[in-house]
This record gives sequence, C-alpha cells and structure tokens, in this order.
Amino acid sequence: MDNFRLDPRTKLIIFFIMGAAIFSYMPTFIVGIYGFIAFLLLLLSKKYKYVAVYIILYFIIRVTIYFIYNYDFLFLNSFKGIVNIFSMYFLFLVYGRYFILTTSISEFSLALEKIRIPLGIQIILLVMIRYFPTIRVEFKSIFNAMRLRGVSFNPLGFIRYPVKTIEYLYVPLVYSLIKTGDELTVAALTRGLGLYMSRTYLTEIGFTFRDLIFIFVSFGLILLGILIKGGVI
Amino acid sequence: MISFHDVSFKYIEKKEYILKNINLDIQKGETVLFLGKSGTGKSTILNIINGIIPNYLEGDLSGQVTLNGKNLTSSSIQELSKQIGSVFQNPKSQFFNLDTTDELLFGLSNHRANKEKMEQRLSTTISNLKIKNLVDRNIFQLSGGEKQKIAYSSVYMTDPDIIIFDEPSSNLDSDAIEDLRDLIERLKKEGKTILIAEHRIYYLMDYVDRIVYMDQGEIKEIMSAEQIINMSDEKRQAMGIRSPITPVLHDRFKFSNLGLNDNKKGDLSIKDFSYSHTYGKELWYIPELQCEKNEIIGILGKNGSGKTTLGYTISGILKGKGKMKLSSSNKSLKARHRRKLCSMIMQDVNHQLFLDTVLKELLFLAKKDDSLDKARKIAEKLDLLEYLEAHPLSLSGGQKQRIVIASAIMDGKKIIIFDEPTSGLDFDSMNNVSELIKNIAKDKIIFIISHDIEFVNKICTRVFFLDKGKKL
Repeated sequence: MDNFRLDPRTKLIIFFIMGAAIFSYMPTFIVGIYGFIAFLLLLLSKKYKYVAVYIILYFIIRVTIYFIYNYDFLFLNSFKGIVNIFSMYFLFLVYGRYFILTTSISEFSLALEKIRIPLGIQIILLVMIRYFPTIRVEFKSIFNAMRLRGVSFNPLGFIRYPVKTIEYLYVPLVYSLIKTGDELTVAALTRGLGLYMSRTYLTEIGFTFRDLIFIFVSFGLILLGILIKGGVI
Repeated sequence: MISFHDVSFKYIEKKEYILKNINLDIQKGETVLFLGKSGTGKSTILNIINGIIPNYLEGDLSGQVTLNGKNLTSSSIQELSKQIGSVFQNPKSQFFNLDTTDELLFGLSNHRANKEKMEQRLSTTISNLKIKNLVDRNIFQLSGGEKQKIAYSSVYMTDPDIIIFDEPSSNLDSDAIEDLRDLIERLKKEGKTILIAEHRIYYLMDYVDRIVYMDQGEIKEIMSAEQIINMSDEKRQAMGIRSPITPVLHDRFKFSNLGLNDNKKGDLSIKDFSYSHTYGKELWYIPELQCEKNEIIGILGKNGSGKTTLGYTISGILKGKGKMKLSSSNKSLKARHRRKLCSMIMQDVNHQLFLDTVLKELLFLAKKDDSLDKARKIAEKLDLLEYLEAHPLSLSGGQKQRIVIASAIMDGKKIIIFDEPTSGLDFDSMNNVSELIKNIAKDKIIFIISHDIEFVNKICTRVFFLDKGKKL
C-alpha cells in the first residue's frame, strides 16, 4: 500500500473513542483490540522502528505485572500503582506517537479549521506543538551547562535538594522560553499570521472509504463494550 | 518608495532616544546597507519599516514614515507583511512549523493565496534557491545554516517588494554566506528593494548601492561601497567597520596541524577521539591532537560538522570515544574528570546563568575563605566589579559572556572552550572579546569554535578543520 493516510479528523475521532473506552473500564479484550488498531496504524504508516519499540515495551510491562501479582515482595507492591497506570495509558502512548508522526501541522490546522475551531485557538495549539521540541532542546542545553558547574541532575541530587535543583533549572529555562517566544511572535507576525480570520492550505484532507472503516470499527467496538457491560450480551 | 522625515524614536522605559531626526529616502530597487556599532539604531530603522515598531515594540515615535506615499506607521505588521519580508538573526526562532514545506507555505497561507499560486511559488522557490534537499524535512533536525536558508526561502515564497535583513549572517559559516550572497544577487536582479543591517559586510560589497553609516542614533554619513573598500584600515576600524574583503585564513596557519611542530608530547594529548550518534554514524574522528598551555586553538568547519559536539566531548558533557590525557598523569580522563577540568562558554550564555547575583554566580563552587577577594580580583579584571550585586540576566550580552568566563576562572578551569564567541558582534566588541581571551589565556588551553575568519586570524595560534564523517 503506498502512503497510508487517514484524515486528521478521523484520527481525532478515534482518539476520543479510545479515550472513552479506557476511562469507562471496558472489558480487557475490547481495549486490547483498540491497542491492536493503534499498532496496525503505526505498521501501515511504515513506522516499523516504533512498532518494535512499543512491542518490547509492552512485553516489559506484562512481565512486570506478572511478577508483581504473583510474587508478594513488599518492594514490588509499591510499584503496583505506577505499573497499573502505565499499562492503562500505554495505548495513548502508541496512538499518540502515531498521531504525531503522521500529521503535519498544516494538515492538523486545516482539520481544526474544517471543524470550525477559531483561528485564535488554532494558533494556541500551533504554538504549543512548536514549543514542545523547543523546551526539550533548551532543557538539554541548560542541563549541559549545569553539569560543567558541578550541578548534576541525578535522582539522588534531586531528592536531596529538590527546591535548589528546580530553581537552577527554572530561571534559565523560563528566560530562554520567553526570549524564544518573543522572537517567534515577531517572526510569525511579519509573515502575516492573523491577517485574516482563516488561512488557505495547499494540503488537502478528506474522508475516504478507509476513514469510514476505521471510524465504524472504533464505534462498533465501544458499542459492543457498552452492551456487554450492561449485561445485554 | 520608503521615506523617513524627521523620525525620532525612544523605547518607553528608556530616557535616551535611539533614533534622532532621521531623514532618508529609499528608492524602489535600491540595495541599502546600514552600518554602525551595536545599539546605534540600525535595527530600529528596519523595525519601523516592517511595523514591529510601534505595533509590537512600543515607544515614542515622532516624525513621518511613508511607504509609496502612504503613512506606514498606521498599518499593522500583518498588513505590511504582504509587501515587506523580514529575515532575522537567530535561525532557531524564526520558524513556526515543524516541517520545512509547511514553513515555506506559511506566509502564503496567512495571506490566503490560492492553491495555484502556492504551487507555483513553491516550485519557483525550490528551483531558484536550490533547496530541493531541504523539502519535507523536520526543521529541528537541520543545521543552523539550513534553518537560516529555510527562513529566507520562506520570505522569498511570498514574493514581497521589499526585503529586510537584520544581521542575517551572524550564525552562518562561509559556505552558507555564499548562498546568502546568491540570494541577494537574485533579489537584486528581480528588482527588489533590499535593506540590510549587518556587521560582516564583505559578501555584500558587490551589490550595495548605498551605505548608511549610523552613530548614536543619527545618520552620520552616506557612502558607496567603493568608499569603504578604498578607506584606510585605521579609519575603517575607528568607525567600527569590519573588513570589506573576503577574509582568508592567515598564512601562519598554513602548516598548522593536529600535532605540535616538533612531535613532542603536549600538556594535553587527545588520541583516537571520536563521537558517534546513537544510531551509529561517526560524526568526526581525531587521530591525535597535542596541545600546550597558552595555546589558543581554533576549531573550524561548516555548519553541522559537529564543532559544538567536539566542544561538548572535550569538556566531558558527552562521553565520546578515545583517550584524553594530561602530561602530569598517565591516566586517561573520564568524562566526569574532564568536566572538572574544562569550562565551555556556550553560544547562548543565558543557559549558563542561574543565580540571582553576579557575585553568587562567581562564588558558586567556592569553599575557601579568601574566595571573596579572589572573586573581586577576577571581576575587576573582567570589568564586572560594579555589577557584582546585579542580576546576571539583566546585563548585556557581552557582560553575560564575561560572567561565565569569570566563573570559569574562579573555578580554576584549565581548559576553556568558546563556542562562537563573536556571533553577531560588531568590530569593537569582537576586538574586546579577543583582548579578553588573550588576557586569560595564560597557563590555560583555549579552544575556539568559530566561523569568523577575521576573528580567528586575530587570535588563534593554531587551527584545524572538522569535516563531517571524514577522518582528519
């Protein structure tokens, strides 16, 4: 199959249905099928590396859970909560990765525009998406600078001096994010962002038969789950 | 096309006017270069033309600025963006999208251009500016030079009549500057009006119609490129203008290499040094490098060749592979030992200042009682004495740089690595930085990562080139 693509709106719909399924404690096999769908989407988009990474991660979680529930060591018990939460949100991790890897910003904002989200909110979302990698880059650089002055961010140091560690990190990080934000705003304004209430796009998005299948299956599954939980089936 | 009539400007919080009674007429199709020391108002003039002043940066603006006879200051930045494109200094903060193609289309998308226009401009831009290799890439993974290329390409996409460049070459190597030169040549052929504020000027000399020399907010002189080229070095340097001739590496570097001349062991020896990305590709490899105290060693190489990574590896932020030894001991230094030995003055010094006074910054690692005296002495040497109680982030860029240098000396670091210490500096500041580095070089080994050949010629005792993926 060449270039498997779904409409960003389809991706959003599937995302919300999956969320609903997880938070309403659907039967395990239903959540499992959603997980399978998430993996399938990654696979169809040819993101093999991530498929491998997440399958390995999934097995690690499973094995950990097995040990926690079968061997009653005290120290393992304290991890119970963390592992449970992690396994519950694992699906979001896989699906979120798929979403980010396969949706360009222009596609995403075009989708938002089509579902009539105002430009103001679109810009906020755009800026957020732009800022995540920036924070990572800046953080890394600050982290490096501090290591040269003998401040290290190992867990022990953090436990011993939590306030200090955050303080050292906080000042340069906030400063550089404000500065970047300022320069970014100027760059965006001089390129005309916000001149009109809406923008035009070269990319096209649209529903295909493929989208309908995925939406239909996602809806069907949650319906099935509701029927089972309600004791109808 | 653009005319300034008795224009003065000051920022709200400042007392001093940054522009005083500016009168200037710029013709259609003209290429004008604004010269002068930092803070003399070059950028301010450009910011008035693209509307950043008074729309985004507020202050008292008096006098009249017109664009094609219409009052310019009443238009919003976005309205002006249809006629005026702006390229700024920092490649890191000029892009708004994650993907290069989205970024190229960003302006047209905001201007509500139709699909045909978008497609047509996209293919024109890609072929005219030769950026096929940059299409559909993640911008965060591009080198600084490539990012800057995307920045001016996306301005070219919207086909504006006037293009403003505010110190566009600050973070570029000489190859990337050649690309910028090609762009300006093309824009000039297309009849665009080009306005540039810049310190490194050699690449512009063939295209500039007029040079506006500014000092303390006033236009002091209007010159031609020939006048600058024919000017005596003394006069030009007194005006704080950098060389108009393409700088070439000084002859004394001809025989410079990685070893010392007589093959003896240096105070610091580096062997089989390399760094590989997590996915396995080797970024660079250094078979052997011997360094002696008092040396100032230049590390040159293109944007993206891994110069900063080399700095990180020497200083122990990155582990890397290979051996690094001091002559005093036979043991190879591990990353954590190297971190104790080295300091790095990063390109963005803001990342290195995290305390609330300069004095605290200097005393951060100090344990002895006489530390305060020592700190005061170092501060005096670096012109920081009167700022000891000031907040580091409230000071100027040069002062911040000096604080980081001062704390490196305070911590007793033997090896100091400077990453692009002169990016975006005018002639005087460049001179100050080189004097400063010479002053502190005694008994230390200094590495300088730089694109700035003029600066390297002035200061380095030896240079070597890094080339991506190649053995030296």
